[in-house]
Amino acid sequence: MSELVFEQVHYTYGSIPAITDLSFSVERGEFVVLIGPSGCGKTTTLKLVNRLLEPTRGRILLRGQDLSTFDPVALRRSMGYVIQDVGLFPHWRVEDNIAAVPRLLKWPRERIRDRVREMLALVGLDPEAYRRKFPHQLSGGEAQRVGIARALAADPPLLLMDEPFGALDPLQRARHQRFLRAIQAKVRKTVLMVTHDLDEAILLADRMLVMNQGRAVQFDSPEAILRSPNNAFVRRFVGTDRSLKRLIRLPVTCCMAAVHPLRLGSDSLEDNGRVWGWVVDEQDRFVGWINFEDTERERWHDAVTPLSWEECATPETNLKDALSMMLALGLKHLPVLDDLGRLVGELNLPTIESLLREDSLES
Amino acid sequence: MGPWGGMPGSWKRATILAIGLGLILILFPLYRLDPNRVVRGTAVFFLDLVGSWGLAAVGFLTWGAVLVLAFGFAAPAVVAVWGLLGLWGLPGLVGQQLVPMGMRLSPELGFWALHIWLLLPLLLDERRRRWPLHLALWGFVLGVLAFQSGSPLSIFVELRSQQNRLLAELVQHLLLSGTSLAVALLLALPLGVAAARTIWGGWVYSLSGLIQTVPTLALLGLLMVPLSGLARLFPTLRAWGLSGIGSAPAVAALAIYALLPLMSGIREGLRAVPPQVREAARGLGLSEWQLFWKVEVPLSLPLVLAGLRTAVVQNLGNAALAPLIGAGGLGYFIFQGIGQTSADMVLLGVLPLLMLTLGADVLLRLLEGAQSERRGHVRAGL
Repeated sequence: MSELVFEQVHYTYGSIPAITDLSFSVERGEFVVLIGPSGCGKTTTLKLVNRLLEPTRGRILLRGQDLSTFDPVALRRSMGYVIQDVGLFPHWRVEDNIAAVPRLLKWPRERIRDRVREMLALVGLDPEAYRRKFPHQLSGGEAQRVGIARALAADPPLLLMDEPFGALDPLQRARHQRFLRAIQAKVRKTVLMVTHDLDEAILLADRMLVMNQGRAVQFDSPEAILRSPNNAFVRRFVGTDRSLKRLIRLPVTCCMAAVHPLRLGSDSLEDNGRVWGWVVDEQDRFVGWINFEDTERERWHDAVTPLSWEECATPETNLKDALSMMLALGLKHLPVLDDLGRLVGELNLPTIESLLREDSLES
Repeated sequence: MGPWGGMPGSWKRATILAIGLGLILILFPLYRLDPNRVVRGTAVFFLDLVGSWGLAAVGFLTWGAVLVLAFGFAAPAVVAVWGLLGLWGLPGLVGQQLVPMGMRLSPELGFWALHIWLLLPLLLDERRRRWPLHLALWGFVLGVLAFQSGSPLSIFVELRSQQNRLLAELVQHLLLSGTSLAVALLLALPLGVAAARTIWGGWVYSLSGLIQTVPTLALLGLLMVPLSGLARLFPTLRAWGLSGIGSAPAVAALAIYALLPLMSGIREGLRAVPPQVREAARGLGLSEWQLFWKVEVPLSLPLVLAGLRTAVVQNLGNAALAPLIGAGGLGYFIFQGIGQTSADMVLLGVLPLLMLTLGADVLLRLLEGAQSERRGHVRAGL
């Protein structure tokens, strides 16, 4: 049985149709992203699910049962809800904010206390350091994490998120997207998330519902939508770089090549037929690269060109970002470093190119 | 570097303060020795006092200087308390023997000028601290009350002859204010919530703003007509004390006036609750009732309390007009004093009124401060 089903749902705001004939279903444990230009009805769709709005026509089923048969307040307590402006209660401490729904559900005190700690740890905030803080003492990113912890506190099977990272700067946003993916891997909720950021949708979604003017235009996996947009609107919406966008979902590790770097201090420079090589130090930490041609064998240590960490990828970097780094820096080979700065592999431009060619052949 | 070169700021201020004090003490008369309430007598200068009260006045000044040196950091507050205590208390302490029986000392220009000069540094405090001012005022009030018995200072002479009346009018004043504020609060709580949420509530709010533009005096007069009409129509109401004059129209007018600040505090408080907090609360599954009590009420409390403070202070002042329609209160002494051109009589009404207003202001500010501290400075929140 599907977790959530929309059956020919209409919603008119006054006399303006906001949602027209919307039908789709979401499976349990699925991460579905609603995406489209502003005013396309994605937020309205989300609010129909927790009955902040009621459909004008049609019906919505939750686990097979008509949504209108639930008590709206009890229904909302069974769903997590995260909004762009966070909306933490400013007069409550972080722990009280997270405990909001468990308290409404009258959980025993000790269970609530344990749950608050568990939730803070889940969203990567030290429980002891953050428990007693007030919302105005948090940064935007921390506040949004507390917002997510609050939404997950009562362990709702369904999580609704309305542009949860919309207010964060691009760097923070990328961090929080990775972090949300990690949480989802742990808790496996059914998630309905609204965004207007296509890259975010491609990265996070199991399936994307592309909406325009209150209608569903295409509902499929990001790969399928990027490969074969089903009409002119979707094609325009996903842009001309859609084969590039597919790379967002692929981590660097999927086509990383093995490396045999030179070790400072121990290795001597031998003629191995290559014209250049990576260089690491005694602890395998990455240093830079070296050009073998016109380098004196005995003094090769002095000829190493160092590379900063900003010019390297990590295993979590997606292929699109890696590619743009290579193009921007003019590199044909990109080193991949782990958390400790050790060289774990390299990425080669021809590999990505062939990957892109395969794509275009398929479509 | 000017003539003050190298002197710390607090010393500069202390020097200016001292020079000003000296000039006022020498140039202006402090008191006037009057034979009775009506006839004006001869001016009394500080130097006269040194002549006749001698040791007491000089000792007082010396002790003041010692205090200033000892309490350097709080010097303006200490000087103010000490100076005010001297002005009000010295006549009672040493003046009884020197002022002929039946005569009285009336405050003169120097007396009031010193008040301004002593309190000015506290009012202009660059760190905007309020406690030195309050310390000075309350220390002074307590000190003065301790020295007032037998004092020849004209205000105390008046006080002694009107003691019972003063107590009665003070109680009446508090009754008028208390009743009207209670009535206004009962009305304003639902109306203020309605003003924030409904169209008709907005109309009531605008109407209360309109009433605010009617002068208090005129409103008292306007209310006489419908209230006396009501009393004529319903004898039971008259039996309960309702009539066109007296307490009923005064309480009604004061309540109507208090409605606007109370309503606007509640309305603005509720409107200041961030919409995203409201949406999150609903989305998490708070019922409308829980949303109101757990989120909207605590978040709007600081502005509600600010409205209450405005209403209380304004109400205490407005109640001084009540004697005009026979409702009594501290205003009685003000109007009596004006009628008899007796400044002492006016002060007998004004000074207790001032203390009431300041006291209410302080208490309600403390309450507001405690609130915002407990709520972790809500306004700065997200």
